[in-house]
Amino acid sequence: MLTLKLAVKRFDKQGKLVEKRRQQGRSFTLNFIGLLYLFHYFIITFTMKTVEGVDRDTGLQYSFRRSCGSLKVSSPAGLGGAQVGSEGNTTLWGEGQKVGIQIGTGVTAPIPLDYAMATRIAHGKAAGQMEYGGTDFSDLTISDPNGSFIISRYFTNKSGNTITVREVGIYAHGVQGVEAEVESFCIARDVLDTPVPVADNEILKISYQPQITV
Amino acid sequence: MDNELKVKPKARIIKERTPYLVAGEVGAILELTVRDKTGRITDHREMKSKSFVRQFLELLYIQMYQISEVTRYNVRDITNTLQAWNNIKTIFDVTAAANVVSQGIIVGTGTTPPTIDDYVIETIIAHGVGAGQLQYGVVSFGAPTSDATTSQFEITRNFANASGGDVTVNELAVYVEGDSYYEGLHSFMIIRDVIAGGIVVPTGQTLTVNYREQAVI
Repeated sequence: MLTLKLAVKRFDKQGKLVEKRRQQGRSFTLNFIGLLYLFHYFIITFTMKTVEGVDRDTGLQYSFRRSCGSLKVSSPAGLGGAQVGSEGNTTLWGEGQKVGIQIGTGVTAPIPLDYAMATRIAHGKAAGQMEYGGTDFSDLTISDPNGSFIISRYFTNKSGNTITVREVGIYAHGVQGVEAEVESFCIARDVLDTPVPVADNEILKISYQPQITV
Repeated sequence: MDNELKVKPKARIIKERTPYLVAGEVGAILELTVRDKTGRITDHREMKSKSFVRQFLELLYIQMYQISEVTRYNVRDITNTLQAWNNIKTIFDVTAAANVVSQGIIVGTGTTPPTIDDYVIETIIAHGVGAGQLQYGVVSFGAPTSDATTSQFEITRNFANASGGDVTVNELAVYVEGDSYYEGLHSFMIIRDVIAGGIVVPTGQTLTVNYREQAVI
């Protein structure tokens, strides 16, 4: 059994923890199942909907080392380039903010067919935007009957106004098999039990903890 | 010649009478069906697969984190050897031809309850027509699909008994094959389940094992 725990922490501009909440992550999407299927079945193409809402064939090709990029969640901050894989001497890149943990203001209840955040908060300092840090991973820990690791990301509000975060999720990269193009896929999406207002200059930390239990 | 009964891949949502998974869980539903040579079902069971083991989480970690050939991460293979693994090539490949016992759904006679550290099936049932053996079919798949709450796909394999006697299957496993480029091909166990009381496959009959990997919202 694989479950997902979600933790939300808010820090003031001095870095002091001012709010902490936990809830069960409920919402692995069809795209997560689809990427697992791709890895298990090892087929060349399989159609999935990208975060832009476009149906694309994504897939794995054994001889071209493309499988390395799919299901990638770790990411650099903001606009930084996320290396997804390589094809010969060509390195495939994705955009840092388009992979890893995401935040938004949407409140639509999650469904398996969710392919993007309902209303994503973009990376930046303009009104309604927050700065995306990198998506980091903790060490993996195993202690029978449980095993887990933590995925986390910081978001800084430099917009000048309070932004209320109502949804969180995870985007993963997939590699389009034929043209070796990088796409982003929403593999999990949750609506927060309680919205979190993040004032100007405050920092939000979102953590997901995938855990297996035997 | 192998007595192979192929299952045509299909995309369908199968709703259990009693849902095994609750909202927020990703797991597998295990369906066991025994058929005689005419195709008549002689035994059928359905249960919640209990046991993703540590290799599943470790391989998922490697792939999500993108652990590369520079850093690598040790994962124990089915021969009890730690492999310094990375994301460079294949990692979760379940596809297996008939006869293959190092990949795909695997059956055994062990009864020890699973632990998170299990890395191999306890007592594998060999492929063949000798006493205590079963003929492993090809691994087939049902494509991902979803309804209002559940996403799933299926992995299926048939095991035909031409041994001349009953064979009791007590445990099941899923082996994946990976290729790290530097370490070559190795197999890892990601799921192990023990069936309470076992399931008997009489000679001349075929066991179909179906794992439905599901995510429930």
